[in-house]
Amino acid sequence: MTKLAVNLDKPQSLQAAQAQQLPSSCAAINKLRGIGAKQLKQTVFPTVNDEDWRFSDISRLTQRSWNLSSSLSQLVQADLAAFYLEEASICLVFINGVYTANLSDLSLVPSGIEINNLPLSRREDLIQQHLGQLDEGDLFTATSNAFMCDGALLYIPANLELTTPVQLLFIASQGETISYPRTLVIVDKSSSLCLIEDYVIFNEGDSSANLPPNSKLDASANAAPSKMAYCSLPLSEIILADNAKLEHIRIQREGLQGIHLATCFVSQQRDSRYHSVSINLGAQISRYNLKINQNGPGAECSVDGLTMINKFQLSDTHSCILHEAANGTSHQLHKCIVNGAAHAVFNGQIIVNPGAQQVNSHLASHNLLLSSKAHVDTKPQLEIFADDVKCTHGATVGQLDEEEIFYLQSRGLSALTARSLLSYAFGAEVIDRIGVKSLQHKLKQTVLQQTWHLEPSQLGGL
Amino acid sequence: MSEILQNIINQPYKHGFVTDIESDTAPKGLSEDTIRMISAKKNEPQWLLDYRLKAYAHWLNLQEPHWQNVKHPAIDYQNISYYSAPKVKPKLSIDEVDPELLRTFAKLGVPLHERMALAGVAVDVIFDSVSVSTTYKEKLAGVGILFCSMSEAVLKYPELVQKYLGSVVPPGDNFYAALNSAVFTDGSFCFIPKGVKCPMDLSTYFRINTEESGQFERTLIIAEEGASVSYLEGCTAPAFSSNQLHAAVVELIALDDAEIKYSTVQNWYAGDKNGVGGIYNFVTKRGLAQGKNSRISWTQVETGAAITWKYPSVILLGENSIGEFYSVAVTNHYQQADTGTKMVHIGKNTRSTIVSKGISAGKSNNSYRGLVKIAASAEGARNYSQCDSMLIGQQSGAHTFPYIQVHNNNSQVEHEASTSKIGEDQLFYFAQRGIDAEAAVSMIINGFCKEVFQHLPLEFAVEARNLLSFKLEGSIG
Repeated sequence: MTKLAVNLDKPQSLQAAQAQQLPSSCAAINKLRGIGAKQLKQTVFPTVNDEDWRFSDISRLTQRSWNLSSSLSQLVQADLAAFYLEEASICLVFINGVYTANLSDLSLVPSGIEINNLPLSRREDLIQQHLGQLDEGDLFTATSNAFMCDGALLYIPANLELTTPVQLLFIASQGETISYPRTLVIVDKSSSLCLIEDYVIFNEGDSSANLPPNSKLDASANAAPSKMAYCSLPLSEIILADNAKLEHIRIQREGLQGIHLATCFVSQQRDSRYHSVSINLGAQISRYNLKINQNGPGAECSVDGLTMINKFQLSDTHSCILHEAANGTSHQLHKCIVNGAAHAVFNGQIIVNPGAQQVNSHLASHNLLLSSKAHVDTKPQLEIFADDVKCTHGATVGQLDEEEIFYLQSRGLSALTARSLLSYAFGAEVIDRIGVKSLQHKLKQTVLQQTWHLEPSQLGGL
Repeated sequence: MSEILQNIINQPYKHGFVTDIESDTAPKGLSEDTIRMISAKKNEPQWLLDYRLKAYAHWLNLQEPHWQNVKHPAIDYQNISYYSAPKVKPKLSIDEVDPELLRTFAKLGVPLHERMALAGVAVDVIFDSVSVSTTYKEKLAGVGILFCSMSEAVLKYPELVQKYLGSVVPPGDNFYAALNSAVFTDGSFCFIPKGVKCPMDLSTYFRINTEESGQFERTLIIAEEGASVSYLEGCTAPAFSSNQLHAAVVELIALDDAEIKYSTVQNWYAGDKNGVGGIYNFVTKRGLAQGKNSRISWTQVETGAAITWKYPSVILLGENSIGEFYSVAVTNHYQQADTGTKMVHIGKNTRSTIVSKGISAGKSNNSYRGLVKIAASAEGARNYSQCDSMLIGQQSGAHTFPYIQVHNNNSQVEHEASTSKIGEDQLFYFAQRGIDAEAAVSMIINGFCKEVFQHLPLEFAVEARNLLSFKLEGSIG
């Protein structure tokens, strides 16, 4: 197979590569690629002059061309031992966006439930009905449509509760590569699902530098300089029918050479519940666009996020919760711990449309700056067109409270311990909301280690 | 909604009359010639004409901004008259001012002479494009304060004007500031020398009278070391069915230990209940807290204008300087407001407070848009922002867009916002105590805005309270 390369800011290169792709075995995917090809003509690469990208300079993506990933990997299950979760007996593994059956485990999928690589699924009806229906039309959804190959399909039929969490493991293993992981989740009436999306890096042939989730995160950072940048543009579409429930856990721990620009669309019908916890730790540049549309009355969502970054990382979270129907609730807590010369961006938008009365919505953005070069841009935003609503938002940016540190020191803790304990506690509030115990434990270890390795120069007056 | 309430809500705009006064109005349209004409009419020095032409050249290259959360038909900048002055030349003595003009201001409740003496406020009155009278000039001059119209200042104190004009809002700052810099006609100029505390409140009254004319006034206030001043601004316009553009620029400069308090009660014509007519109020107001321990405080009550689009800002450059912004914005019918503030912290230990209250009724939309920026150099900076919105009626909208940008780790920024409506239970509680819905709403709204009103000078606070109940009574059904 010839290698296809694209320049994201050059429409001709994108269109040419799109046209040269081998057709997929799945008709719905070919159709979606066709739609994507049209969208490509109407979209341009965003710059800091666009309001949505004002604080996030992603021009680095345009400095080179990227290879579309296609080759299969040589990894074996033992290589990934550190990434599998004991609770999640159902697991789909994608390497550079390509489904890898020998590493995945679908043996325990109950009958009636459809969990598979999308092109391999026989539920063409579902795919035709839902795939690509929720998108926005920006460049990144357009390219995701235009270059779609593999993806996870999860379908839970009505009145069924899948008790085992499902893990989607997206592994980046090649430099200079661009991949488009895709996820389509449909939870039918009164059903429930727990989904874990995990984005990790694995440097093939250099296992010492790999990041077992419970080891020091910096390991991958130290290995980074020799590695080439890579780019991952995942897109998830989630459809929740009446009274459906989804626990959505999203862990982004890409390598520090990685660029991760993710989009997630959620459509909520009557009385559905969407609970998400999203943890952003890795990548040199990361962006998470989350759009939740509450179409049905009585829908509920809670959206929690933790961003913990260091060095020259940039992490941007843009969320939009649209209340289109009455009696909805939304709760959002977003926390950032920013160290080194890192830059965190948060834009949380809540829109209450006319007629969406009795909506109850709360949004909080709390930011902890641990170094003098770290910086934060936050914008919690309310747009309200209905009068009988309760909407509040709050934002704080600050540092650790000297009095709290003093208190811990008076109890015999060193200043360093006190600081790392307080930073850890700041982040743990979000991690505590993850329902999968082993994952929660691993993440806490990671955060604890991150805060524990504060460099003395970053400790201000100590 | 009861009939009485309906009547109250439909009360006409009481400042909506036109004074039939002969005026000298420039032909519509904007070109270099218009600018030369304005400059010539005002006998301006060459440097000011050059300044205007430069701003105009820049304006031609600028795009009208569209990021703000307001909708309006495109403005035809060639269909506006950029200069309009009462034909009867304003005289130095107030007794010689055209009696028709004086009657206008009496109607507006702006007493120009004796009553003003009692009120103890010095007033500069600006009618369409020119300043018609300034009271108390001599008394102020006695303590060294210069308070006069901008055109007078250009001729009498050219070095001060040249030094400070455009130093806070440069001509190319934004689309409307550039337009203003090119065509500004008059405004107030105020200079408080070192160590002087201004003995009385200063006030400017703006009035647009001519249809299809724009008002582009320019205000410049300078407080030298240790000086302090409280400045009030009021505005009204007659009711015309066409939209009128008001693009003012206000610049404040506070040196070491100086204090400037700027209060606005804005009651431009807001259009009728179907959203026809009204003023487009696109204003750039900015203060530069340049000196150590300086303080700039903006208080605004925005009730009028079809569209309000303004962000009184403070650049906190001096160490320990303080910026404050207190705002009440009320919109009804089809009004739109996109207003807020910018606090840019540059100096060490700078502090800012933002309290914004938005009330939207009818089919109006009210947005708070604010920026709090803490530069890396602003060590120990603090900001507290609070913006609350109240929605009255199912078709109104309330929005908040707070931008928070923090570039160092020893500052504290807090932002809180809430949206609510007047609850049935609150009204029920009042009814229980024998207070009817109308009075209850007025009390609740006054309570909601209290934090802002207490920062207004007394007479203005009374006016603001009246304006508010006048605007909103009856919007609760």
